[in-house]
Amino acid sequence: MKQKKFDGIFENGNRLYTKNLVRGSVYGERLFKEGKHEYREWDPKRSKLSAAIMKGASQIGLREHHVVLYLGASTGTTPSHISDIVGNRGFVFALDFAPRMVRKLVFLCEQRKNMAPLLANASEPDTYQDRITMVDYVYQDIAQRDQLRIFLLNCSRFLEKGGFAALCVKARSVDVARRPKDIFLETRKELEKHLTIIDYRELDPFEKDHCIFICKKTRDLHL
Amino acid sequence: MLPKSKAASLRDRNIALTKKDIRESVTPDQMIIQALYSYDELTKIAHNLAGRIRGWFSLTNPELEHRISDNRAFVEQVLEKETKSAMGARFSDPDMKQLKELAKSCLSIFQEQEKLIIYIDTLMKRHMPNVFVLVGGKLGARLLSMAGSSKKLARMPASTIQLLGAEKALFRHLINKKVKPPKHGVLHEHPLVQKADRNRRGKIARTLADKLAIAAKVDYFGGKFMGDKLLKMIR
Ligand SMILES: C[S@@+](CC[C@H](N)C(=O)[O-])C[C@H]1O[C@@H](n2cnc3c(N)ncnc32)[C@H](O)[C@@H]1O
Repeated sequence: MKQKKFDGIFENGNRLYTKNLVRGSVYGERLFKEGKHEYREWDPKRSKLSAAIMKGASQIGLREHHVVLYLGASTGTTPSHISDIVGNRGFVFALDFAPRMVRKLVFLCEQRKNMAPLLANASEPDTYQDRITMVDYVYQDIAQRDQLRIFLLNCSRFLEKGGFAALCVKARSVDVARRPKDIFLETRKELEKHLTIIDYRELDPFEKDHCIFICKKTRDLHL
Repeated sequence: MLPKSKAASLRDRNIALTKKDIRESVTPDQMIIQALYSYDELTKIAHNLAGRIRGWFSLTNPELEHRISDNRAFVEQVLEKETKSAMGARFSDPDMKQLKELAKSCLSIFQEQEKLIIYIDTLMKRHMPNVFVLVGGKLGARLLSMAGSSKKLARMPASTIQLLGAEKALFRHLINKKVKPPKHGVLHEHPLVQKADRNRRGKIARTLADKLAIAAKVDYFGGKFMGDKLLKMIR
């Protein structure tokens, strides 16, 4: 097992792994034991952040000890790996607005000391501001038409200056008829008005017509 | 980084609050939709099981199997006393007993469906009284399930309600204009649409959808009951 240049992320053969914080598999992913440690395979087909690394991302901004706000946590596939990466001194607020997903998320959070669930709509930060803290990292994967507005809103409210943020964009949920490239370009232009983009990857062949922006909050946002 | 004690209290509090939020997110809509899907599930199971019983029973009495096309009536007949058959083999008592056990299970599925319909009607009468009066419990629940929630149904324009359940046909029309647009989706199940002449069905579905759009809004936003008036306007 080789440590990648990113905190908490490992490589063995062609596969990525995170060091498991709690024994056992979370969603059926394969486990790998080495010495005292257990690692969980991080499949780029199931997780966009893993796909971004596979596609050669030079940085993802995520560090051990980070406090993370995860928007669109679903049943916790990617959040569980982020929980591994930030470790026991970091923390993950995992938010989703679908009760059916959050039910599973609750079970996951009961297993992991560094995760908390939230049932809320990411476009209504007022409804959850009392339940979270300022964070070092915002991760958003919500596949919604107004995903960019929601992302900026949350970065403006909850991301510390100097913090990082990742935005996953699914072209089809913005506009089915337009070319993904154009949508990605338009998103970039809008993003750049508020945040500094430090990496960008298109995620094919792992995810078709998806891309991810890694950003840094270098100044306050004026929305 | 969060101090350990802060992290622990944030986590405990959020787990407790989220459990409460999830508990409170369950709506009557979901109960109705689950009941309808259970009904659909039983329809499939009853159909398959009755088919199997037909296959088995026709070894002993193909004439009877051939004569009764309705599945429920057929299954009830299997449970009756045996009748003569020229083509059928004689079944031993244990053979017949086993087959009847199966027929009993099948009959109880039909009975369970009746109970589900009564249950759906009761819920629909209580939560969507106006929609119920216009289209009945089962069709109303079907529209609700296709819309996703009573909130979404209440926000749908009549033209969308008219075509709920006709999405495939609509899509075929959109990609090839030579294909005629659909006139109705699940609303074709409604007796008024069924009874109408072919060339008037679209029009009736449209009127029905108009009134349904109003009914769904009144139900959702809690207005006064007016379903009977809406129904009169259609007739
Ligand atoms: C593509 S899935 C996320 C998968 C997850 N990020 C992973 O990799 O494991 C998108 C999720 O976003 C949620 N979602 C969409 N819009 C949302 C919103 N406005 N607020 C909160 N969650 C939302 C959906 O319920 C869904 O679970």
